[in-house]
Amino acid sequence: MTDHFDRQLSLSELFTEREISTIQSNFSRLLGRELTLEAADSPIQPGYERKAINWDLEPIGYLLMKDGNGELLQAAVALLDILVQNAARYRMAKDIHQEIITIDYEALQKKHQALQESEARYKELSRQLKQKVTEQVQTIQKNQTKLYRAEKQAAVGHLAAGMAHEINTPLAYIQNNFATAVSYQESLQAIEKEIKKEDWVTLKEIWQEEDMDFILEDFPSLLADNLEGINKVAAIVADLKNFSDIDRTEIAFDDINARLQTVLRILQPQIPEAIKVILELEKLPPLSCDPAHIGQVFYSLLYNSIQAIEGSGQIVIQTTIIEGAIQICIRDNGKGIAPEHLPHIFDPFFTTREIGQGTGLGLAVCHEIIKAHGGSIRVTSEPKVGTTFNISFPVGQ
Amino acid sequence: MNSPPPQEPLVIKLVYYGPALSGKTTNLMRLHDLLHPELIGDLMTMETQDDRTLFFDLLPLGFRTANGMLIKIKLFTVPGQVQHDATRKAVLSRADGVAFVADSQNNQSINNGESFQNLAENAARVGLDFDNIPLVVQFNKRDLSAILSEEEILSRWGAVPWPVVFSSALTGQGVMETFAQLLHQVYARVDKTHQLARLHGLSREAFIKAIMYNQQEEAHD
Repeated sequence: MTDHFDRQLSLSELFTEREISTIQSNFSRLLGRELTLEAADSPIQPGYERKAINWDLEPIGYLLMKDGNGELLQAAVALLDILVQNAARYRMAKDIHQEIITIDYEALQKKHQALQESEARYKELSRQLKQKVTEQVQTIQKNQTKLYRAEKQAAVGHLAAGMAHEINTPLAYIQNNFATAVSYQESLQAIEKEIKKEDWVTLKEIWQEEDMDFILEDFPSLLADNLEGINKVAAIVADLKNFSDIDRTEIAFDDINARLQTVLRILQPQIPEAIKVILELEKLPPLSCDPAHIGQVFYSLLYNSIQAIEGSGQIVIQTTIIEGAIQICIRDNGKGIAPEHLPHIFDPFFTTREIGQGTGLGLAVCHEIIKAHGGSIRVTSEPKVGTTFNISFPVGQ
Repeated sequence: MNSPPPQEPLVIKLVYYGPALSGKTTNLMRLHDLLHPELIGDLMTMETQDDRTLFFDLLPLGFRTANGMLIKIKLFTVPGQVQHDATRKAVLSRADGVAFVADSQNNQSINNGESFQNLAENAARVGLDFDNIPLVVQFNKRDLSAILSEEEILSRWGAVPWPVVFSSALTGQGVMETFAQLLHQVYARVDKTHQLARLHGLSREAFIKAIMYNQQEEAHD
């Protein structure tokens, strides 16, 4: 803390010791008498005439003269008054300047501190924000994975009904054929008994009774039918397993045309005979992708096309390559999408189907998967004319 | 008297505050000429080349009470220019009373308002109780023509608890009244802290008279 500029000043604050001795010696020389300048609190010395030097209405010091000459002393005091006035002016200006600097400096420091505090606050806010964003991103990613899985499971659910039928047919005739095979085997056991007896007449009768000529002719084709049926079931199971392999996310080079055909095979049981599927597939370079996810995209789009066609109609699937990007076009001549729905069809949970008929996630998930592959999907549609989906995947180096 | 006279003088600090060029220094110059206390120093000014106050002006006045105590009144002005706010704070510190010198000219209302606001803020910053400090509001430059009428000024400032004085510092009109109004309030404050009446036999009237008219009246007697 500096001294206040408006305090009572003392002689020693106005003049240095050297200045005081200069004043004394020069006044003494000028007046031809010994002159002394003393502080206000000096004791009175006998034999000296003394006169007060005033500053701010009070004596700040005394001028002492040995050989009293009132007039000379008065003149010296008048001169000293001017010196004191100027020294005081300078001293007060210097002190208030110091005070002002302190005030300014304190104000500046306060401002600086406030600034630092606000900076720290913003840093903390930004740190919290970053953490919140990270948490949110994690939540979103977790939910997205859940959504993918839910949509996939819904698709598998759709498939289950069609697949059951598809597997049931071969199973039914395999069952039937085996029942027949069991009765053939009974006939063979009866023949065997007669052979052991070596009774050829009875054997011939039984041979005819059991219609062994037909059995021998029918058995190989029966076994062949069963083998074919079992192969068919095995193929369906393989496709289903391939398609429902949800958790395996592996990037592989995949043939898009082959992928489309696999999905079509899986969907086949759900395609009514009145719907004609036309494939116009050009030779494509392999696409680096997640085959299970890409398969799901095709499944969703084709499933939608099938649903869109009431009665008879056709679905055209075209693939081609334009400017280094694989283009897939799936076009149906179904009922189309209402213009007011068109902007929302890729929004999650948007569905026009009845509750329980659709999750509203199919196209949203398609959109996400295609985006994750760096691709794009566009839709054009006209009610009662049909809907076209155009998908584009850039082929990586 | 048995008790020796007190050694420490009683110092009362009064500050002339207000917007730039409102006539604070002129008030002090007139007071230097018009006041006749027992003791009066020279008016010390510190100004820039264009006569604007740089740090402050100082006029010391004083007298001794009957029992020998020196009472000093130091009159200060602040620099009115906006950029000298730190100086205003330093000068206002430890003030015992304030004369606010406003400019009556039509175009100065905003400057008056801002300066008064600045006074209130700075008083709070340097630890003065603004609601209780002795304060007089002086509307100066009544000698000019493009000024607000007294009615207009009173309609805006009449409701304030402080006395409002109209003045022309250039001619001296209202300068003494402003100072007297301020001393009137200052006495109550100093009497409370220093028992002027009880310990020094100094009434309000004697206090004001000693500062304002002492020698003049003695000369006339």
